[in-house]
Amino acid sequence: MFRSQHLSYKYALFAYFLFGLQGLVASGGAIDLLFPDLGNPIPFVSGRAFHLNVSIYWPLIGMIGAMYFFFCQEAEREFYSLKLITINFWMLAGTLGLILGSLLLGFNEGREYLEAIWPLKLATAACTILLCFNLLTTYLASDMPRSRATLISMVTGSVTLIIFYVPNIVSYAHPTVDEIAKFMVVHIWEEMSLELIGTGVLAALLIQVTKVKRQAVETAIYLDITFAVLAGIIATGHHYYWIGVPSYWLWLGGTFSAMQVLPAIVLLYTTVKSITFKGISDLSNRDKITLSLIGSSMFYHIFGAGFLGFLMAYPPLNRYVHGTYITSAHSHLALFGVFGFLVLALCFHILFTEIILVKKMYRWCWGAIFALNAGLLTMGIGLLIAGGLQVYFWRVIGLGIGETNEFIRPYLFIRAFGGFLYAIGSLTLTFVVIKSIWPKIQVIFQSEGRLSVINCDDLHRMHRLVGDLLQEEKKIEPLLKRIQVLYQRLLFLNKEK
Amino acid sequence: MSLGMGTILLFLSATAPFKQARFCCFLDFISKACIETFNIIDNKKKCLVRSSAMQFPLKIFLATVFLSLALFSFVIYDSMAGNNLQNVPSEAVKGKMVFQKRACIECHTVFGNGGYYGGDLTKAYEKFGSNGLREYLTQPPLLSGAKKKRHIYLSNEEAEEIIAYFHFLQSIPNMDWPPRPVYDKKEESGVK
Repeated sequence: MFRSQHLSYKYALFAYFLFGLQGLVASGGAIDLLFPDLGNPIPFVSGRAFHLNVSIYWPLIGMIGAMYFFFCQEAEREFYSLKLITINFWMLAGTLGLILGSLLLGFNEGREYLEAIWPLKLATAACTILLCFNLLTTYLASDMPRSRATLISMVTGSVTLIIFYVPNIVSYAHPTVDEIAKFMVVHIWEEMSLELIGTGVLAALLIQVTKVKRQAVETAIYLDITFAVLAGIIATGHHYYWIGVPSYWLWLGGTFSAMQVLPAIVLLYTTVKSITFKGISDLSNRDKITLSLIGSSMFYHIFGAGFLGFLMAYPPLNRYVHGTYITSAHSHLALFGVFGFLVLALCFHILFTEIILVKKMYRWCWGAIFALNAGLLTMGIGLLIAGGLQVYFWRVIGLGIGETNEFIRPYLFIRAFGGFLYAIGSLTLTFVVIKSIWPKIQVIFQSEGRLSVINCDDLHRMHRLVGDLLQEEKKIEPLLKRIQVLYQRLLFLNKEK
Repeated sequence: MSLGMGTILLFLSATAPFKQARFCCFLDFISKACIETFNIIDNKKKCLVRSSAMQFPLKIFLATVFLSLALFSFVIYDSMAGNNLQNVPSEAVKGKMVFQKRACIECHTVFGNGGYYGGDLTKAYEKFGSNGLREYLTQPPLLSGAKKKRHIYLSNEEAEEIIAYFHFLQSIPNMDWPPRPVYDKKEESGVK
């Protein structure tokens, strides 16, 4: 293992911690919406902002950790700067802590998903620049072929993270311009940048776990990432239909959104092709859980993000369903369903590479995965029905907001119940991970220099010393035999006397 | 050719009589060298073919990235340039700041984007008028489903600024979204 891979452990652990926190806060928000008089310590506005920001950041942190883990493996060399990996982590963790804290205290810029105040947005941009710098310099220094698909995928994805985040550091006076900029993060980050990074990292994981030949998946990876870019960037247009831009966006957004199903199908094909049923039974428990999380991600990629998104992006249909809970259903199924499960799989794989998970804990993991899927599907169904009713009441019979809210309340109960199931799953999985990692927590969070002394260099030194001892033992053995012979003679002489 | 020569030389060296052993060893050495050279050249050719084959998907991918970014930048520029976007009046800018400071987007939607519980505000000015909005914001009613919790209260100044913002929002040509209800109650009862 490379030292860089050790340094990515803390990213994965922090991602799991935030994932557990998200479930709790979101459940509180769902209850506040149903019982507004209950009295919540966190105002709904702050809680929702917290939920939206943590839902963007924890997959991002997990994905960055996965990049640090798999990139050096694919490049077959250490990262250009190990210190930067640690600095990047503390910068990200500090920035996110400040963002979440400031949101809970009511500091809110009032733009959905981008509620953080602008200095903290600047800090986020700086973190992505650090990541990009480290990746690019490592890529250029690597001896591996420049065209290795996994490397290209991760590098391009990380560069586009910066390009599309920078315009959102400031707010704009015109609401249309604000919306145009906002969806560069909300859409392109998720459906292009993270898709590229995720494809590269997933391919590297599958090559490692299932031992599939690289040549077999390289072409599929290139096909996938080319479609992701071709469709993903212009498909941002499906968010622009009704924000005050020219009408040609209906054609652009609709056409390219329809093409977004293609990378999902290519990704599914690549994943299925690299796994055989015979192969799965031979895998370790850790790899079985990793693959089941990946399988969940694939399922939501096709149905939650792919087909549901495809239907919603069709402009004549979008005109009626836009602005309802149907969008919320899609965002839960797509954002957590696809990237959430993928990041959980990657982080699980990373954390339990060297650390052993107790057998009993694996049963808890399976239970958690079941609860997460059950919770997410229940939430999705509740939101889809609530959204469908909103479409009928608002767009067909023209009912008011208050009356509509009363009619959809039972389905928001279903959503809250689904969220409760999901929270059980997330807390269980987080508990299992943190409990298992806790004995090694100090080693994981130590700085780069000390980690190398404790883990890698000392291990090598010990190995050398043991080898020397074994060599010495060979020399000592004849001496010991001679001493034994002399001792027996002395005993014999003593007896004779 | 070197493979053919090497094979012939190997054959000759294998069949030569024992007395000419040294000469045969020499031939053997030369033939093995020829075969080795052929293998190296062949491997290099395969590497070149493989690397140029791999370069092609990379070139296609990079070309797709640049072209997509270029096209996206162009259409964004076209959407914002010229007379597509009107200037925002200063009162409306202040209203937008109030809207953002109070984080109204967490419960309400604008252009259909935001929180889905409080309803869309894109055409709120047309729907409620400035008097209706002023009353709502300065004397907030109970939230739906609540007996105690009320809508956020705004001061008179903040309310005027936000009303100016809603007035501007309503004037943005957005292909008449949100659509009028299929069975519009007002139209049915003849109320304008």
